[in-house]
Amino acid sequence: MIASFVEDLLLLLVGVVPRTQAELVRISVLAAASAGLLFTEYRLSVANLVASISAMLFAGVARALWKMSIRYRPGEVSYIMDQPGRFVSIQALVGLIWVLAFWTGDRIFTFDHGNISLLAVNAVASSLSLTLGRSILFPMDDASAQVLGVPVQYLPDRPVVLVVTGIVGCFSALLVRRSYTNVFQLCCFLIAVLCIGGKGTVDTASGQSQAPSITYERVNISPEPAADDSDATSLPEEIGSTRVPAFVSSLAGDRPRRYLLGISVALLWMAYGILNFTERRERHDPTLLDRNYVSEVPVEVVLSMYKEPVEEVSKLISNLRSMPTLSDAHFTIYIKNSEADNENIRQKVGADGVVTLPNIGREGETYLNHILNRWDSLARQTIFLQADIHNPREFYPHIKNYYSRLRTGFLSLGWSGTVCNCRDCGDKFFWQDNAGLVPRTYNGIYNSTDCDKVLLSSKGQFIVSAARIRGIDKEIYHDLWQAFVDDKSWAHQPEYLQGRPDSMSAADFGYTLERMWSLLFRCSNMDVAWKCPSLLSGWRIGGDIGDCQCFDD
Amino acid sequence: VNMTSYTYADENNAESAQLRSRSLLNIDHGYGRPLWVFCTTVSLLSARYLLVEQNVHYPLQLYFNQLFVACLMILWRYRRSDDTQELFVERPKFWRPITWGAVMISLSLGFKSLSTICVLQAILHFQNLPTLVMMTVRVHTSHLP
Repeated sequence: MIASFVEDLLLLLVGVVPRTQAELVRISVLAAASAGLLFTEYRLSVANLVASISAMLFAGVARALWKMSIRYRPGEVSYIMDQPGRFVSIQALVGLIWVLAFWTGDRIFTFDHGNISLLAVNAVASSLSLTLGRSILFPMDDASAQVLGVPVQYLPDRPVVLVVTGIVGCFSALLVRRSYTNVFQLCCFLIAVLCIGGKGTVDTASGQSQAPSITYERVNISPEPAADDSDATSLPEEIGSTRVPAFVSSLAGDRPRRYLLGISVALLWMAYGILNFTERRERHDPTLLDRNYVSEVPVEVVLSMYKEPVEEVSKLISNLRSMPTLSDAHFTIYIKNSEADNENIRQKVGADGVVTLPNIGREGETYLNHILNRWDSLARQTIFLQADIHNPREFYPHIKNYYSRLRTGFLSLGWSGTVCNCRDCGDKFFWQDNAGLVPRTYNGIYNSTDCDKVLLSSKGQFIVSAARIRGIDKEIYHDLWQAFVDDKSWAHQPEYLQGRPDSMSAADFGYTLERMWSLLFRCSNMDVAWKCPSLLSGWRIGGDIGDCQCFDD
Repeated sequence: VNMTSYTYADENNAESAQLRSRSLLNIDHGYGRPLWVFCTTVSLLSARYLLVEQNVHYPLQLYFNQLFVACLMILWRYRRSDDTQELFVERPKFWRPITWGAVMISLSLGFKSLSTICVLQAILHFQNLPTLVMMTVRVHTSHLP
């Protein structure tokens, strides 16, 4: 959508594209359908929006420039296209500039023996795709065909779009980190596809299209390079000056092939629909709850604070108290700043208790400290937060949408959906479980080595029930806490750190624990991984309150 | 631009040049589109599998890998086709006076490369790959009259 908008805008500005009224209506419907497709997506994030919009923006500019080049400088295009070295040189230059501009010091390469064959397949397929269509997602060859006078093949465009989307949809729905397309998105997409087909009708009505021929035919194109800037000629003048063939595939009279293609596409989309809307039976580990524990406090909010502005903390507590489900919550603040005036803070923010802790291990140590010291007086549900909460704009709606006082067992209040392979756990933020803590913790919880996929938590903010906290051995929490506070523990040794910065106040191990909370509280199943919407999207169409959490009932 | 510093050997070669310009691999256009569909599907799915499922979260690595393969393909093509040597009577010089045409084409290729990097980044971050693919549907309808 964006690519074409930019492309059309550029072409409109240079006066290449006149638009008929019918065409504008068709494009408007198409734009609305494309927008609907995006707005009903439930896993939008800033990163994926920036990446996908940029991709289309750049593709649109590239296509527009390509079309203008072919139109006004066909000779130069012909000449340059016979110099493939120039293609790869520019490609390499852009890659190099990208690395220089955006390199943050993290690795950009990895040598992975296990995936070497798949990497090779990807490289060959991508190269062929770029060579044939000059793009992976946005083919440019049609641009050449259109400008060179070849009748535009709108009908074949529909199978192309449908086949690629159908195969991608089927495959993605089968993966562990599966995809899901809702009914509205499918409707928007089908409307968009119909609009592609409608193009032929519009052109016929406006007398633009040429009737497709039965056989391949030659179209005369000028191969002569433009002499200089001043002799840019229009296409009609160039066509016919010299003969160069372009092949026009024909469809009329090829009915058996069309029927076969139609049936294949229909079957593919049936399979896509079935796979997309069928819920797989995911593996569920035992829940392990302490159902005998009875708590006197229904909800407690635990805040880990250092030197955050007191006004901000006061605002946070006030906002949480204004929620009907948290109006009677008990607020406890743990401060890791020994110079803070606890009583003054307690009065200013309206907390029920303020406790000073040594500045060790950031919020991870705070939460473990609370669990260990309050083991027998834990609230029925505890909300663990940092005083400076992450994603405040999405944080409150997320609690409103998903938190249930009666049912919530574990609910992550950060990003969700990051899954890793247990024995090779890592994420796209360059965190890697080099020490094998994830399988070790899994083994400690379930007394089993059958660890497969793990859903990672993030941001160190979540809600958990006492039944879940107490469902596993207290020693597990104690061992993790010990890793923070003992400066001779494995978590502070070079073998574990592997060159990463570490200190007692900002332990590297904190990043690992931040990701393991969902595993510790036995809410690491794949249902949550694919059903939970992103914080930005907020809700999944067709979803329910159970999408992002594990219940205790 | 002095594009007349080379001349086509003859008209047949000119046709050959134009045909060749359809793709680097001399694939007939009739099969080009199904092949593009196949390659782009394999490329998307393998990229998704590597970047997301296998935690090989290095999109630039995939980009440079395909660049490396593209270089090999070009070398392979020039090794195989002797007629390429006969394509031009006089070999064109690499450096030429800058023209609008050359600038537009170079920019187009540059933006295309940027788009490719962003597509790979989008595959890494977009969990619903079909939505990403569906969003490109509008591109297929844009055309010149």
